[in-house]
Amino acid sequence: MAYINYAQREIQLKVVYYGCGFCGKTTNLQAIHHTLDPQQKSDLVSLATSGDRTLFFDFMSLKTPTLNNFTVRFQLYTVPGQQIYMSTRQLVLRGADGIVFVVDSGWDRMPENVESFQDLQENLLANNLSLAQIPCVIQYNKRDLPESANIEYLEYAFNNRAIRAPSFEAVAPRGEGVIETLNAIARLLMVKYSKTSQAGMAPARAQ
Amino acid sequence: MDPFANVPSSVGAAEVRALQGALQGFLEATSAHWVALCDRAGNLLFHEGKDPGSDVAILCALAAGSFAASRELARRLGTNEFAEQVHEGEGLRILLHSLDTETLLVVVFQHSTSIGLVRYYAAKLANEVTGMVEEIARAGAIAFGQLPPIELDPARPLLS
Repeated sequence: MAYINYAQREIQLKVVYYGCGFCGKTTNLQAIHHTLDPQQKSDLVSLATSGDRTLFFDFMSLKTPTLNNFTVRFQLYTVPGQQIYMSTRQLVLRGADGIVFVVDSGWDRMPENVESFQDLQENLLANNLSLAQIPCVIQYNKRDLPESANIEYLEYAFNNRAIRAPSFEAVAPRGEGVIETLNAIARLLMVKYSKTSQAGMAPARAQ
Repeated sequence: MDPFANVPSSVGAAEVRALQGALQGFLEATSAHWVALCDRAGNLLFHEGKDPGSDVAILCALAAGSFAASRELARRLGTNEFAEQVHEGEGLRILLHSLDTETLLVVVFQHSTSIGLVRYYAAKLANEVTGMVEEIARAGAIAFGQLPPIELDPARPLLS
């Protein structure tokens, strides 16, 4: 849950990057860390295996400029994508205010993406949450792959709900679509927690 | 016009001062270096003491992660969560103490400080501040809900 420290004029919001193994969650955080103003960000911390796979989580903290006398601090986490770390993902999801679901666009990764999406929904439920309640943005990563699935198919598979999530195409190692995704989830959270108007929100894709 | 004109600026301020006083009292009684309260999601709530030499947001995220992992370990071993953890380094120790179902106390202290003393005052502090943390969060959320919307420039990204 968002933590609002009124006396110190600070709001803290937790965003979790979720998705299957090798979909690019850590790469998203690395690209954000590489791109953003040093004044706005903490170090990027990775709890990884010796093979550079995420073992527990990656973490970084970002501060917005002051808005109405308040500073908003976004706490970005990734979860380990590998199937065996189910319970770890549940732990990292605790207290999440927003989700970025990262989809690997490779055709051959669709079973893993679908499994991860189901896993997300189950783990949200275990934290008494659902995708209908929690702000969510979908990122279709690895759009530079020659064998990537088309966007219409991906939208049908992962964004086929009554209220559709904003979605973005990305090539995370090049930083493409990464900051756009981050700003979309940041705005969704501001809308939810500070009654900010919807103006400037990236619209959900048309069918 | 000041959007805060009709909202008292002091909401929660007295409680925050009382809580900070309690944390400072804990540091004086134990000679610990640094003490923080964070929630189980890893959000830093309050901290006092000497600069711990690292970003406090990161310390809290890691402390909450460590506590969550040990709780899951306990659950899988069929026991209750461990209410306390002590990590011992060469020069420093870290104590993680569960205040309630939502809040953790994180203390960084040297080997020259008695661990028993830190434990004793941590338990005492837990009784003292639990209600304060809840009250500050509740008052803050109510006051924040009364504020006018934050206006964002649609053409300007929040983070860039």
